[in-house]
Amino acid sequence: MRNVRIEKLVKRFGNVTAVAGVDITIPEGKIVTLLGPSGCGKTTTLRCLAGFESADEGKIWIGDQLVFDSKQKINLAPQKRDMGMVFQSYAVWPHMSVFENIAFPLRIRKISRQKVNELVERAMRMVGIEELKDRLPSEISGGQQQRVAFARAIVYDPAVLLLDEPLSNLDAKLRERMRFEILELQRKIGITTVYVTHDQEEAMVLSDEVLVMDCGKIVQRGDPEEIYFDPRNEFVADFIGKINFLRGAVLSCRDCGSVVSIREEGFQSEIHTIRTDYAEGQKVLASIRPENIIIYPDKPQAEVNTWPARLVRKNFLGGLFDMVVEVKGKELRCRTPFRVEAKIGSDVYIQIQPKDVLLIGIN
Amino acid sequence: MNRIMPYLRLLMRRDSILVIVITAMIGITVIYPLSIMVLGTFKSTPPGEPSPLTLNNYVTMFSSDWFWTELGHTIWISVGGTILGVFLGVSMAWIVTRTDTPWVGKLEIPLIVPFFLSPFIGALAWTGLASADYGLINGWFEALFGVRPFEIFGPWGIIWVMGLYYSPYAFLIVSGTLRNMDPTLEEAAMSAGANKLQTMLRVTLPLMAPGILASAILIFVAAAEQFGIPSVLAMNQRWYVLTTRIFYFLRGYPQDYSMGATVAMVMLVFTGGMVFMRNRIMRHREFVTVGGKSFRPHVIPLGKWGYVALSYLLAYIILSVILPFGTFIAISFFKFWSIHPKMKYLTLDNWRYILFEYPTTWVAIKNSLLLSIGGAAIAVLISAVIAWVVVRSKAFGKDALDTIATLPVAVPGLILGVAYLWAWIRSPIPVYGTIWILMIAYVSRFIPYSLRSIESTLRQIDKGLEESANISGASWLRTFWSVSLPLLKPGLVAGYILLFVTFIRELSCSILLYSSESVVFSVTMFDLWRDGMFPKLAVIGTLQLFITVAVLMLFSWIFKIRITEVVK
Repeated sequence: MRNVRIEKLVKRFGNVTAVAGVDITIPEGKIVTLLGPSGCGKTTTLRCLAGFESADEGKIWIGDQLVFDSKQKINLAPQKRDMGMVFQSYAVWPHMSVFENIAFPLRIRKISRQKVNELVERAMRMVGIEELKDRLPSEISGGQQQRVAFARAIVYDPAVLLLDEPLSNLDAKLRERMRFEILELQRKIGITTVYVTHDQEEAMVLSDEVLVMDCGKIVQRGDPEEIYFDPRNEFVADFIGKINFLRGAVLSCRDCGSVVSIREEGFQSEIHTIRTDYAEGQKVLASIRPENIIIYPDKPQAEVNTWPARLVRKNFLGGLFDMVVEVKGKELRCRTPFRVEAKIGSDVYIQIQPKDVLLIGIN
Repeated sequence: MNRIMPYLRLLMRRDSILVIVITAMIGITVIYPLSIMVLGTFKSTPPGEPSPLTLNNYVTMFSSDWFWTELGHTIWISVGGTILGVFLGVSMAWIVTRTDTPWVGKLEIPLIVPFFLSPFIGALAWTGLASADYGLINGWFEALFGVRPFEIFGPWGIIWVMGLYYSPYAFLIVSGTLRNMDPTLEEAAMSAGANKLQTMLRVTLPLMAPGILASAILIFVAAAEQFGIPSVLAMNQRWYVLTTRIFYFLRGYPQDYSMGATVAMVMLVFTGGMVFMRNRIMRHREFVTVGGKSFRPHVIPLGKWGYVALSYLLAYIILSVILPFGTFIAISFFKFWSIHPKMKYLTLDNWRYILFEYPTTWVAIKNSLLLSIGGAAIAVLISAVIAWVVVRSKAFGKDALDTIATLPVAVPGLILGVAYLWAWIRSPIPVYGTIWILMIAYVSRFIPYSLRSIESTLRQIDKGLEESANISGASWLRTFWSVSLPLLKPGLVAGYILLFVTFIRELSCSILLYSSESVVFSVTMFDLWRDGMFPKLAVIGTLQLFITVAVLMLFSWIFKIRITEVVK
């Protein structure tokens, strides 16, 4: 078990810069997620770390060992990096039995027969596939193959575990269960883990730290709650969960909070927030999560951040109402678990508490 | 009665009737003649004459020396040709798909050209290069070192020519396997700690194994049933293999139809067994290695060795295409071909003779074109119907149809010729000696090839496309014509081209069934070869070559398809 450090990593494919200067530090035993849409450079970063791609610039350390340095022309082969990896396609070898698949890394390391048996048994027990020992990959399900891939990646106790969208080929129910199993397993062996995914829920559940990537850069890093409740830019706010943006500028900023003048077409008003991140005059997006917009059938007592609106759309998702209201031509998405009696087209009031209004600076 | 009605109704459905008609057709053209031939092995008289049944033919054959010697010869050249062909094909496939050898992209098409060339012409051409008496390469060696090291006539020459012209089978199959292999399977080995060599030996190679095995069996069967190459390179030397021995029994003196049939029976059991074995192995060993998101496979940087690999590929192209076929065309312009061809022997006489005086030429051209262009069309049409019934319909007995239609794969062309001789030489139906018997033989023998290409295309077409035509009111026939057929076009064209090049160069079926009215290209060449008129047969061969290329170009232009797609 070691920590991992990546410094100023750059990788280009022809004219395209897939990774544009990425710095990552993963403390020992932690699980870090690279989260982003497809093409954001997360998989390329992981493949550089694994050694399957050689980066154009930057350095990579695993523990104290420098495994990649573009300047000193150090580029350790993948097999010498002491990592375990689980691939999206599982990459379980079709010509070997489950046992042989898992035993392969140990055989490469010339470990005694008895020890191999012991370690493979233990790994199979850990992922719960003892009974599949002699089966061929073609005879087991996708979920089971995934477990085999997992066992194979941890059986030799590597320093770092790399997971490249390991759950994306599984069906929804199994995927949800596997998240918790992976987390439990990671905690049990305490292995330093890098997890690549485009699924934000997966990232939320699994990570000690989430690194959100866009266009080859890390745009925000933090623990899952921080990323959700305190997005630092438009991309993160929009990518993680759902959000409404109100374009405007800071009108006044005091210790107790700020007032933002909303400058949307038709919708010109003031919105109060407890945030004080930006100075007067700064253009901002006042950002509100759908679950933080409260809908009232009649005018509520509170005056602040209250507007008359019209219910445009109402969908019942089962356990949740998903709605769109219109405030002077601006449509806002709202969600609530409580029953909404109002009919589509009826007049309602919406209210947003100042603590729920986030500010994101824009140019 | 009530119990039988559902079955009757199923049988009376249009698609079921189709199944019955096609099955009957294949029965008459393949199974009936083979049965007559098998019966013939137990007779002592020529076809059509009564005879008590006897085991004498088998007793004579198995107790003779020639049979065991020639069985040994057959196995020898087949094993040799397979080893050479698989080695060449696999090594080139690996170089093309997994290394950074320069120009490799440009060489992929030239590398599969031998697939379209006639191995029979290849053998003829190679005599002009490496015969001890008149081989050009021997001439070069003699001028430089004073020795003539090569002799193409004999088993080693046969193995050499077979290896050269059968290696594309291995190349195509194995390069397909290598290209489709999920690269993460190899990456997983590397991240598990295996180095490049260990990855290659323990992951890549085992995953290639089914492809290698499949191509080895394919080449082995093709080599064992080859008639043209051993007849050119060893028959005059009285070095026989089973196919040339069968020919000897049927076309030599004295003729012995029964012994011919008996040897043919051995070949049939042999090739049938191999094909059966291949199907068994493939069913269990086919790995699905196509993965999810695919990064390009790992390319091994060869550095300076890249040029060695490039020379290897170029050497193959030169030895299989440029040198032999260049020489072959050149020979057609010489009065004599010798170890040191002299300019004063350059002449157009061969061309003048073949084009304007030799009576057979135009008959052969006409027949070959009719058989290849027309025959391929008929075969593709029938295959398309069979494929559609097998893949799409719920017709009664469709699986049996699939099996029966694929059966001829296991019947060597020469053996089908023997069977046709037995069945129809004295038949009241006057088909023997006409071009139509060749047509029937070609079509039924080679339907499995177009069937496979069309079936696999059809399986990839979503059934919903056809069902939506049905639901919008189109009839069964209309759906096939307006929806299935256009979607099938790539498979149909591929199947057609494959059969066209096979038919225009066909020898082993035709050699037993032709008459003076139904000669074809290869048979004409074979006759001229036996008469010792090499430069004149080179004219015929060159004509065949140019006509093939012209038709292929015309085809790829009309159907806007690249020839390389045919072999995918």
